[in-house]
Amino acid sequence: MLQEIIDELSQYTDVPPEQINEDSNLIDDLELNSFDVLTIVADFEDQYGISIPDEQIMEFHTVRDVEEFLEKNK
Amino acid sequence: MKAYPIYELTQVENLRHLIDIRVEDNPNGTAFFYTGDDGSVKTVTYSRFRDDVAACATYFMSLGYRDGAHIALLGVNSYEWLVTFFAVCNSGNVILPMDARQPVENTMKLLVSGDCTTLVYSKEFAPAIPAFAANIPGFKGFPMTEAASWIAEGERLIEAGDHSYAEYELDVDRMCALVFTSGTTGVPKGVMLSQKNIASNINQACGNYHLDGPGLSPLPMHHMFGLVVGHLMVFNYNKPCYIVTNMRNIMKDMQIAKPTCLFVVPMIIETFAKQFRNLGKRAGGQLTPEMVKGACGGALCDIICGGAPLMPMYVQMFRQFGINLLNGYGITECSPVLAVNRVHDYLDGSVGPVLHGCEVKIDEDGEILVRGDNVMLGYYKMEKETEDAFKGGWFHTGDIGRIEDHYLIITGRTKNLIITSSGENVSPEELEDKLLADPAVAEAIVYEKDNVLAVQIYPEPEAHAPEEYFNALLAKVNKGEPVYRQMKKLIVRTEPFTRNSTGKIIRALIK
Repeated sequence: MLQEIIDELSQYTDVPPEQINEDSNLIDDLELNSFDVLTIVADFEDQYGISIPDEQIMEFHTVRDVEEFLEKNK
Repeated sequence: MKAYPIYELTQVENLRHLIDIRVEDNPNGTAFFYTGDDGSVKTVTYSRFRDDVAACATYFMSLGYRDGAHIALLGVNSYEWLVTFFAVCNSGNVILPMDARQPVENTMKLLVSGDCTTLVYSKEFAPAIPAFAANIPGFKGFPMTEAASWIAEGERLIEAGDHSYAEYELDVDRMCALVFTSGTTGVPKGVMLSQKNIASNINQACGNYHLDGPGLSPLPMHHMFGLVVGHLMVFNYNKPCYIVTNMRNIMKDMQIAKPTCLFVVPMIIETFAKQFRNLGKRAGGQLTPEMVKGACGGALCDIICGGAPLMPMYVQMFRQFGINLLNGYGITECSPVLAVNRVHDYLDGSVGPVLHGCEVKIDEDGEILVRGDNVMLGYYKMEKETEDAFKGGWFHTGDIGRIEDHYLIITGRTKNLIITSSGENVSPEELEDKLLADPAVAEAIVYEKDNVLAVQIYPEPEAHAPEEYFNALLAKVNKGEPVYRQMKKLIVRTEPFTRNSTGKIIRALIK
């Protein structure tokens, strides 16, 4: 799961996968803006067939936050 | 580029007239369409919309909401949001559109400063309603999930002979909307807009552009740019307006709506640029205009972008894809549009020609001043601020700019002006632009600290530049500046600056 998330984020941001880890901050380290996060979340929803509530998205700060949510809810 | 005549459309007199002329022209045409909770696409005709607004207004009037009652509207974009907006404005009451992304405590404070005890809210805000009730004496909440029953009740009342809405005579000069600005500094101000203000801006803005097909805006409706440009203008063009109920679905929504024009802010353009780069990578590195258009639904010709400064490189990038990215400029106090580039009359780096019917002049300090029917009535219960804003009979935008040929170019904001101890005025944006031109600088803010100019820089993470690099950059920029404009203190940040809900850096937080 972690690798899938890292690959998706790497593809989107152009940051090499080896430079992304669980502690990478989506906004500070990967330079995503809040609208980027929304569109990536929409991709994850399709990929894993789940629905992620808006209030949950506000809690996504690091790659780990995304991974833990997807692991629990996929 | 050369100026060319404006487009002639029937002049809208007020927001009720806006609906009536569309119903007269095309009663069964699609006014709005959107994807419902069940995933199916719903369409609403002009005549259905007129009837829903009339029924909703009649319902609220029957409850005693008359003669300028204040009703706040808090919710994500939806058809019900629009019905409520029109129903309140068109029945002589005042709508207070609230930012759905701000903390509930802020919304409560704004309701109090707007003398409002009634809130229409979407289902996401239901859990917060007990807090509103506990903190606002006489609070009354109306969940938008019950909109269908308000409309049914309004229809029943009309059928039983209640013509209070139809017979109500609108005063176009009275406040119909109280819109709080999400400024970067100070206390939010309530901007009082009249029917005439909004209707005239629809006329002015529609004259500058011609919409050929469906329009789509993912911008929140509480924002005047999102509402007036992204929805009401499209409505006035007699073209279907797609309602984006959840911003995250924008790429899918474009496939459904097949818009010919999008109405966005620069942050969305940045996201599109990344999406397209990704698309190119997936296709083996070659990104074609067809692929970009395909990702946007296949029919996209133009994008109108406002709300914040847009980097000209994006305009050029979209031009390569065969899409006109038209940057514009507006401010809530002007309902909101003042200028926008046109398809055949544009200047990169400018915000385009000033709208017809809008008088703009630049004063001796470089500030952009405006006169016109689109300029607000004033700030709610802020006489001093209103007086200051209308000094000399012109509205002072607080923005600095110049007019080159007939194009307006924004260069900074007076609100951020730094007055140095020697009495010199420094526009921080001018210095920030020089620093931002360096690829290692992602964000830069210049401010005053202990009587000297200071700067905080957030580096471009991928540049991996050490602190010495930024010291040298500062020395280089300072070298070309007079002493009073030289930056003496540097802080290299490890975190980006905090931004407000429209994506602007909150300068007031910088110490």
